Amino acid sequence: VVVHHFRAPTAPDNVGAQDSLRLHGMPHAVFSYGAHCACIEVDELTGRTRVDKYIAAHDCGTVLNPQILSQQIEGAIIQGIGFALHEELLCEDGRIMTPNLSTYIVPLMTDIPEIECIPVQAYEPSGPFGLKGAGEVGINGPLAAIGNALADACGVRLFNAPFTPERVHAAMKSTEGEPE
Amino acid sequence: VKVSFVVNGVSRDVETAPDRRVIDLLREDMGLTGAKEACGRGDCGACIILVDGVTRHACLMLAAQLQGREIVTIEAEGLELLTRLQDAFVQHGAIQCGFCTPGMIMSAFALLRENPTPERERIRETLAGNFCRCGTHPKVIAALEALIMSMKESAR
Repeated sequence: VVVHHFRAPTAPDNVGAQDSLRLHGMPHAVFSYGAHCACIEVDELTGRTRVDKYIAAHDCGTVLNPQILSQQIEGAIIQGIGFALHEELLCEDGRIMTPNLSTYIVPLMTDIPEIECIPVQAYEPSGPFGLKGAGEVGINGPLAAIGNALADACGVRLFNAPFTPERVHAAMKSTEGEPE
Repeated sequence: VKVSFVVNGVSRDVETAPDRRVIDLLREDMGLTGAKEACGRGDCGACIILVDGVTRHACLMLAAQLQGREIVTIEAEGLELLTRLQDAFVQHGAIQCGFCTPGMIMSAFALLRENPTPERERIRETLAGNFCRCGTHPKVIAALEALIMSMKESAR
């Protein structure tokens, strides 16, 4: 059994501006950082993009439970891949055009690449046991990583997510014949 | 209508409305809340049960269709493979919110009963009918591959 205590840092009693103004607790001022790398395959004929391999490294302070961390990060990456490639809430005259799971496409088992997540365990002095939050830090990376991979692979920059086959195909058509 | 069928090895005779779905019968009348209803239209696979050994969406079947059939749900006891699958899911952290888990396990159970040593691609294709919003897919594959490996070893 391990017993430990942690006292959250508190703000100073007097913040200066007014004597009656007192602050309690500390705002969440700790950021997690991450680096994402996506290896994608684009079908030039149809514009269909799929992710083959994915590597992500996150600075999330001390890791208490590696399994839960990788669950969170993998889950966030998969949601991020959905955001980048399939999921689109279409709206027409105030009506949702993709109201169910056969039109709003979430990633399935067959869309999931091999995912490697590397925890970078930097000690965070303000957190208990040196940890930081690592909840959904992974979700921000995939859109940018896949967008950059697309630009690298096909020379097209898309600014609207998701990168559906139609959009990728149209973008590739419009740059045809242009010098790189 | 009167329907008689076997659920998890126990014979049951029930009186139910003709427009009632299997998922309602299981969850509301029989208290078997393992199968979940998410989309209610056969997209997501959260309600998957086995009917005569084949995976079926409980939200797309009428209760009357169960007449004379044998069904297995996630609550089944005494099936070694099912228990081992459940243990493997827990050990490998293949569960986050857990809503898709009963359906995932039933799909995997049907697959492993038919083919005890499937390739990774086969696992992926089989479980593609089970949606998971938390993104536990890599852990599910890890759990299944570890279980397949340990079953191979114990069979030796």
